[in-house]
Amino acid sequence: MKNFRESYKKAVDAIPIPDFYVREISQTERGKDGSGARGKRGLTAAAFAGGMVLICALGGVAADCVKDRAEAGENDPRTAAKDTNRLHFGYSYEKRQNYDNGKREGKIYEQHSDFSYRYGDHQDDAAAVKGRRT
Amino acid sequence: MSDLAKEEGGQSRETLRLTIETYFPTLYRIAFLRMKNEADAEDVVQEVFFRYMRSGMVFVSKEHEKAWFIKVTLNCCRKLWKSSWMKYRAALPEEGEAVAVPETAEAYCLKDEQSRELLKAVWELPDRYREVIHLFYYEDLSVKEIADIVGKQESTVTSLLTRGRRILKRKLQEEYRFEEF
Repeated sequence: MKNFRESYKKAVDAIPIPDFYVREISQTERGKDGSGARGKRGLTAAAFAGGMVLICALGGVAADCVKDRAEAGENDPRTAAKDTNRLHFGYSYEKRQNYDNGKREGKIYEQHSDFSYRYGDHQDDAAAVKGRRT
Repeated sequence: MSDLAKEEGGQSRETLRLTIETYFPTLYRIAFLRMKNEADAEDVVQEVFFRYMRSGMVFVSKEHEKAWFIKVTLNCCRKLWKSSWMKYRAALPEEGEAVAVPETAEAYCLKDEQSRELLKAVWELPDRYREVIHLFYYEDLSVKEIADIVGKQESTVTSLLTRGRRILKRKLQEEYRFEEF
C-alpha cells in the first residue's frame, strides 16, 4: 500500500511552474503617468472649464442685450402702434390715441407726408379707409 | 510576470527578489489547484507579491512568513473566484460535478498514470476539502497551522480532512495509506 503523502507530492511536483521574471521600473519611466502628467491634465481641464464658463456668460449677456432691445422695440406700445398706424392708416399715434380716449381731437384720417413714399401709391387704401368711417 | 517599483527604504531589492523566487513555486501550485487554470494562477500570485510589497510586513519567523503568503494567496483566489468576471465568463460547475484537469497538468502526468489519477481525484474535490488536503499532505502543515491560515477551528479542519480523505478513498482505484492527524 502506497503512502498517499509521497504519491501526492510526486504528482504535484509534476505540475510545470512557468518562468517568471522580476523587472524593475525606473523612476523616469514610472514618472510618465505620475504626478507631473496628472498636474498637466488637471490644469488643462481647469482652463477648458473656465473658458466654457466665460463663453456661456458672454452668451448670456449678449442674449440679455438682444432681449432688451427687442422688448424696447416690440413691447413699447407707443412704438408698435405708431409704426402700425403709419403703415396702415397713415396717421399719427398721438392723434389716434386722443380719438380713442374720447377726446376726438383732430381727424382720424389725416395722412402723413411720409406714408406714401414708403409703400408706393396707397391713395386707394387711404380712400377706402376713409370711406368706411363716417 | 511582475514589475517592481523601486523601493525607497524598507525592503531591499535583493531581499524582495529572493522572497519572490523562494515562494513563487509554492504559491503558484496553490493558486493553480484552486483556480484550475494557469492564467488566473499567475494573476493571483502577482497580486500576492504586490500586496507583500505594499504592506511592508515584518515577519517573526520563516513559518510566519510562509503562513502569511499562503493565507493571502487563498484570499486572493477566493476574491477572484467570486468576482463578476468569473461569474459571467462561464457557468460554474455544480457541486460534485467533475471538472477536467487542465491540459498542461494532465499532459505532464501522462507518463505516470497513477499520478494522473491521483491529481485528478484531488482536483475534483470541493474547494474546502482540496485546500486543507493540499496544505496538510503537500505543504506539511499541522492542523493548528492550517486552522490559522484558513481561519477555521482545528476541529473543523480535522473534519474537512477526514471527509476529504473519505472521498479520495472512494474515487481512487488503488488503495493508499493515509497518515493520522
